Amino acid sequence: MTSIIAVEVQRALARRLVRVLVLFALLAIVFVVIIAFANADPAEVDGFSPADIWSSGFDDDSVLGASAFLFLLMAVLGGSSFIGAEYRAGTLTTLLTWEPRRLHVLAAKLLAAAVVTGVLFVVLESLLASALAPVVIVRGTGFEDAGSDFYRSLAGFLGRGALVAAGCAVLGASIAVIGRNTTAALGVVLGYIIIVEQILLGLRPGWDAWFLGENLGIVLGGATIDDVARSVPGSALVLLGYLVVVVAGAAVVFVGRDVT
Amino acid sequence: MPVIEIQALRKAYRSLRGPPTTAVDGLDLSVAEGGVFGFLGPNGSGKTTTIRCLLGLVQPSGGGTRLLGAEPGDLSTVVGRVGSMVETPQFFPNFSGRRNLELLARLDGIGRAQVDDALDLVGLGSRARSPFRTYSLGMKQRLGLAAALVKDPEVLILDEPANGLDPAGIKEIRDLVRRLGSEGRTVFVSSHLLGEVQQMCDRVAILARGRLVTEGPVAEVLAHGRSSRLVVRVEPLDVALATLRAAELEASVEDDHILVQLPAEDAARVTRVLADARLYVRELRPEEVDLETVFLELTS
Repeated sequence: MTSIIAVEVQRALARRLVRVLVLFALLAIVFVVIIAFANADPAEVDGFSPADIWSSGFDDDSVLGASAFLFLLMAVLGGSSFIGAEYRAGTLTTLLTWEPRRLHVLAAKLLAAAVVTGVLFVVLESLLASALAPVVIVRGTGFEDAGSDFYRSLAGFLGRGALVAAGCAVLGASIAVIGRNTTAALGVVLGYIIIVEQILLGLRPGWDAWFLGENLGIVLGGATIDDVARSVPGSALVLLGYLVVVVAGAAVVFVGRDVT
Repeated sequence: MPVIEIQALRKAYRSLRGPPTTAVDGLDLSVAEGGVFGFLGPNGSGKTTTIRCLLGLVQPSGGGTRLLGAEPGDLSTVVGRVGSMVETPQFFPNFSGRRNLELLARLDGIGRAQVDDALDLVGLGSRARSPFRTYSLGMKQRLGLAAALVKDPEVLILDEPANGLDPAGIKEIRDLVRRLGSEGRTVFVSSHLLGEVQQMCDRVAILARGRLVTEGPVAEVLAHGRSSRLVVRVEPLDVALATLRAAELEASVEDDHILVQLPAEDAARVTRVLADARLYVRELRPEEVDLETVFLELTS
């Protein structure tokens, strides 16, 4: 099992899309730092502070908070494309003649997508935070008042974010298994979050504690959201529950489907 | 114990519109250990579906298969001893042939040296570092063969291995398959190149519309369509033809020879009739029947 996971991780890292997305993220980091540097005013008392890099709670004003949601979309894209590319290239036949245990194959692919995405989340978000640190020091309030709470909160965000990003990659990959292509998976996830949840929010606002978007916000932010009756562990469980259902569906489809 | 056992195998593909399509319909087949077994059939006769069932890629609608004694659910116990290539093998387009093969080989703990050996064996060594997407059909086939061979398997299942190869490549594959079979491995090869199959296989099975039409050693299968005609070369053709017909023999001219409707054991009758008319035979032999003729007779 470890060898197939290692192979899938290697394959994931060698994918062109992953490299393009990482390059895109690095360019975005440079762009964000330049903008932050240009906009930060050293003369301002309430200038660019550690809280602008990260502050707990559902606050997309912090750079890491806002960027995390962009990263989650990239995670869904990366995960779904990881599987979708297999179906498009027709390589599953070749792989299954080497490892016929389909559950092992699926588990290895989902684990690889999760591990690569989780690690990339930590690396890229840490890089973004580190790149913004000089802006806080040179043109902002400095880190003197940040205290250990800031670093603990930041570490918590990175940990939770890595898990959520990994989950998003697994979600994208699982839907791609069911739909057999990348576009189907992206369409389902984005269509659900952007259209279905917004319609439901208007029709049934009381259901918001069950919505994907709200629960993602609670888990990523590490704090509850006003009007949503859900704790951080509660939201994590809801997200995990949704993920388990989708992964189980993908497993049933993957094991039973003819590979032609 | 047979290496491959197929019992009452049936596979029907469901269709959203119309009735299901039956690809394999009650196929029984047994392949013994060692040698090269040819699996023949026209397009759509169920060869690839049968191979996919054997390899656990497709679930049969009925019946069953065993590969080295393992049912599809237990294939993982024997898959390390089986090398296979199904149709035109697909690999990751942006990875080189070598990288694709290395990734697969890692699943079985196979080292780079064996990967290089397999690539050299199929004549792909010089292009091993090129991306798979730049490969011609023939090169893709060669990489698929390398993937099947890199395990040094006891059993090889090859679905149309010569597809897309040029004549030199076809001969290379034929020689390779023959050599592998003579080394004691079992090679199960499907092909539509009947001349090739005739030259490289010890036994063949012919499939038509998902059913087994005939199976056995190549010589026996050829005997199914053994001709009862004699080929006669003699000059002049028109006089010889008239002479044979005058002796109440059924004869006809074809190209530069005469075909006489007589079994080989009655060939003396032809020489006697022609010699009596002072016509002397240059060549007299039973008409040869190749696998293609038998195949077309059995599957039409």
